[in-house]
Amino acid sequence: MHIPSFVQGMLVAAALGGAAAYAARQSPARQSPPQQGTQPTYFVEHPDHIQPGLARAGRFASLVNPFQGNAQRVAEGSKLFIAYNCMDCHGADGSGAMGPSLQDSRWHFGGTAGDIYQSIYEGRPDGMPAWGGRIADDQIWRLVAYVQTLSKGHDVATENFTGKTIARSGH
Amino acid sequence: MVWGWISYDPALNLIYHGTSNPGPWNGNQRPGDNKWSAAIIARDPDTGEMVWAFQPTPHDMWDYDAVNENILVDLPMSGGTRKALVHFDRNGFAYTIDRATGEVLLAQPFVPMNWSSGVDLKTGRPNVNVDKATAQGKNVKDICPSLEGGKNQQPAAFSPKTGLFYVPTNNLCMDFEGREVMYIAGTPYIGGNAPEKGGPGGYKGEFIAWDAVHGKKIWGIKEPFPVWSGALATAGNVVFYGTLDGWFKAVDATNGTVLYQFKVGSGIVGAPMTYTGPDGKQYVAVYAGIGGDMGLLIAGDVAANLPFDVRERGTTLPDLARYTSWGGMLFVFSL
Repeated sequence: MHIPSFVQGMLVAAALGGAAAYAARQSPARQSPPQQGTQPTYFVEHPDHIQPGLARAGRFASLVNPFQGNAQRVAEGSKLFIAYNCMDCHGADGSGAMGPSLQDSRWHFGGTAGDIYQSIYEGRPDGMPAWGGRIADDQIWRLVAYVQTLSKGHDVATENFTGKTIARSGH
Repeated sequence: MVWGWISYDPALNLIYHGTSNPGPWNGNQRPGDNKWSAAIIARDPDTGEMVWAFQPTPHDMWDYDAVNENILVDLPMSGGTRKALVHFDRNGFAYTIDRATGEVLLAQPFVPMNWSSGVDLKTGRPNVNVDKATAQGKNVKDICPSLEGGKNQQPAAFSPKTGLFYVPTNNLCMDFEGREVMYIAGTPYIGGNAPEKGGPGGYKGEFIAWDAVHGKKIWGIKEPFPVWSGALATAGNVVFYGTLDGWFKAVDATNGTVLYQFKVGSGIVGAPMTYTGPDGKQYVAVYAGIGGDMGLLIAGDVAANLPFDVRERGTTLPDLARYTSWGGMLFVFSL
């Protein structure tokens, strides 16, 4: 597999920076819960959310993104979004294609950092692959940071997400 | 990859199928003709042996699959009746082929196109317009047809009465930018951005009658959206098709006059069919329910009534959601 150079760079960074993210994932009990209210999320109930012995949001819910609000990591996440072929399902800038839109602030599986981390780490039904163990944890967090910047607000009309139409292609 | 339609000729004992475009879309990552991608293949069904193959688009750089249906008819070509295979390719050429040998008898554009100036009938190869050849890191503008093809997988119909083919077509163009892509199992292997737009003339689809003996269009009905339904030709000299904005139309097979139209509950992407009911009457049925590339991928906000997946309008068909909504209804008409 040929890996573009900027991804190789991030893989090295991942090796160096992975420990903190690993610790964050291993000790959810000691982490602060996600800041509720600062970013409203709209959660659609779904039977796939039911997990034995766990609260609705699952065991990843209390994770905190070490890169929350870090513009450089968000920019790196936007490159990983293309390099790992996320764009080819979710559309350019997460505008929706074969996979769901990431711009509409409506979350099938939850929109907190921990929820999105879990969606990427474990995968989801109907096509979302599991990336956990295949890419470094801190790359997942870069993607989470990027994906969380895409939302346009749940009460914004579709015409006004960006104020223009989106160039899409079929297959 | 083989997907789409398979035809069978019991006299020649051959099956015919198409193959899809090579991956990724970025042609720089796969030099050569990429045989036998984007090809029409004739096989012996007993052994699987490939008897002949023809590649309409060698080294495809535009996502022009060759999976559209292969219609087997005997046609009065110059020099006598030929056992023909007629194929309306994504690449915009209609091919009339000798189905015993694979010889290309005729190849003419059936929609507006600019990627090729024509097909060399000796070799079957298209003359590629170098201005429209795609490449990694290069954004080539206004390639026609788009990757949806001059026609997509919705099947055409042949009427033995008129000797004509009735073909649902698209008039779309695209920009195409090749992009380096890694193969990652479980993810799309695409390697290109190809936003689509309406083609020349201000319409995006046309339902046409095609003469495959002479390679020319006899008549056409222009539509505001790509024609994404199958076609049905009947012995009463009436042909049927549907539109993305939900019109089901009955048309005079000879001259294209619309005889009757009915607005169904959703865009039509299925194929109309006809049958005799237990009461002895003839019926025509069509499924109404938009989906596929046009409904789900390209239009964007047609999908907006999914509570967890709301999208902006797509540039290609920005207004489609104003003409249709989701469906899932069978409409049956008696004659």
